[in-house]
Amino acid sequence: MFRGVLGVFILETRWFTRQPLWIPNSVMFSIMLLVIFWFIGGSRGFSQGLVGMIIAFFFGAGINGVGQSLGFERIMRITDTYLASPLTLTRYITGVFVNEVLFALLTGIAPLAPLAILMNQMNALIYSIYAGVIILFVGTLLGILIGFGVRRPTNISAITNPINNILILLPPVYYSASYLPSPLREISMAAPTAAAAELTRVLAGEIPSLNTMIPVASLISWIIVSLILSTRVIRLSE
Amino acid sequence: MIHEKPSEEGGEMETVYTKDLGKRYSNGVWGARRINLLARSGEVTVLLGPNGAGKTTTIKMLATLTKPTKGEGYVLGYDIYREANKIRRHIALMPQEGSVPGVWTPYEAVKWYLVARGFSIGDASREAKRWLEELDLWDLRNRSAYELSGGQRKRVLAAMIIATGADVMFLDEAGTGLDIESKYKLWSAIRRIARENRCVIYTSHEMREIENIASRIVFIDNGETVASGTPQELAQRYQYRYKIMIKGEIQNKKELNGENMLTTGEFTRILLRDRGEIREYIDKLRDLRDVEIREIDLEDIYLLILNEVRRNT
Repeated sequence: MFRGVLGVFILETRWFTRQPLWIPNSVMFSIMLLVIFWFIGGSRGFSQGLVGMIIAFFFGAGINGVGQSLGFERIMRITDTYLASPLTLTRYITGVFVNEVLFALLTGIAPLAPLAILMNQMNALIYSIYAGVIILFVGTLLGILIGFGVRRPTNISAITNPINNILILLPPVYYSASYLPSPLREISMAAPTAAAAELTRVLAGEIPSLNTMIPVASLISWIIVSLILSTRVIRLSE
Repeated sequence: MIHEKPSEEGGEMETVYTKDLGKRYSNGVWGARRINLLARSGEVTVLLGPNGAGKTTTIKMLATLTKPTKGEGYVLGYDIYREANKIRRHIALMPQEGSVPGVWTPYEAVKWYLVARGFSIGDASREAKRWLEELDLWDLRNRSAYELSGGQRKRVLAAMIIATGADVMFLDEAGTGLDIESKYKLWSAIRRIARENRCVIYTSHEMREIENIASRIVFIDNGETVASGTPQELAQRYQYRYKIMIKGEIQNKKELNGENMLTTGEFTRILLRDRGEIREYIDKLRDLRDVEIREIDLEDIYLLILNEVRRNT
């Protein structure tokens, strides 16, 4: 089990170790965006931005990172060499997933953590990471679903990118759901990213924008549905 | 335990066996209709046929990447319908049009692919070195694949697959796009792994390649196996030993016997049984300039078989 994941993981890390400029680029982006939130909204803006960015990082690592890696390797037919081998599909996906988590930690969490400590936002940081793990799970399942489920692998990034952008920019991820009027507030919780962000904010001490059971139910539904669908796609691919 | 399907040809064991294997895709197109093949360990079995004949579909079914629609198939005695996971422990596949990502180096591609398949890091490093040297890639081992030519990248992929030492290796047009020197190195590596008692299934269109590596040939046309056997057995199907190759238009085509005459593009070949027939035809063709006499080769056998099949259908 370990060797299978390790082999895939090492090969996957080559995407950023061979193109290391991605790391400072992503780190700078994270820091600058958070500083902008701080300039505009002060301490509250910083807190809102921190939660949104961590949720967005983890969700993107799942849906975009895993989905597009699987898609690219399908185009290169590397996936076929992995499938027609003793390596199981689960180990292959785990190797891809671990690489994406590492990249998100290096370029997202690592530069944001010192800023969060400096700004006395430890609660927001810690609960964002908890919620981030859940949203990473959902994003990864969606990435698997799209990565293996889409017939033409060349279309995969054209599908994952807009889904990712819509789910992190439109609903209340970088901002609190309390800014929205009532019916929209509840409807926006249909997005898993918004549900995760709302729960994080509540756990970090903000006043709930709506009944907390709504985002909880939304996240549970996303986990169940994406788990069922991605398992089905994995079974078909195996 | 590995068990093999008993042969229907008198006692020898087949490592790969199919009977009337077929695959119909969801769009209704048959990728393969009736594939019958036997492939043994210690041999290189070449699937030969025109583009779209069903070679790659056959490889995909045997490598358990796609489920057949009909027929039977066994790899090392395991059923390709029900025992895909068992088969996958013993196979390796070099896909047609496959390539290594540009950010990988040849050494890490081979080494870590082997680790992913379950090799220890030490064994993977040793095998990577062995096969990169064998395929003349050792000096390029630390270069990113971005810096390699298309042919060199293809050789890296071949090294990844051959280094696995899998019991059954599927190489789908592994030689396409390689320069002649690289091809000879690849052929020699393939012959070597076959001698180490591996079963190699190789697809190709190139006659020189097939003549160099094939222990057994399976002709596929329009999704069906139309002939199979060793190169010698196939040559013996026909009585012809020589051919006259003519370039350009033949005015008196009707005077010539059509049975043994094959036209491909601007070339016409007349297949002949003995020297007596050569003299007879040379007399008829004395007005033509571009005429050559040669012994027949695999390409002629291939064209004869295709011609025969298409005439019958």
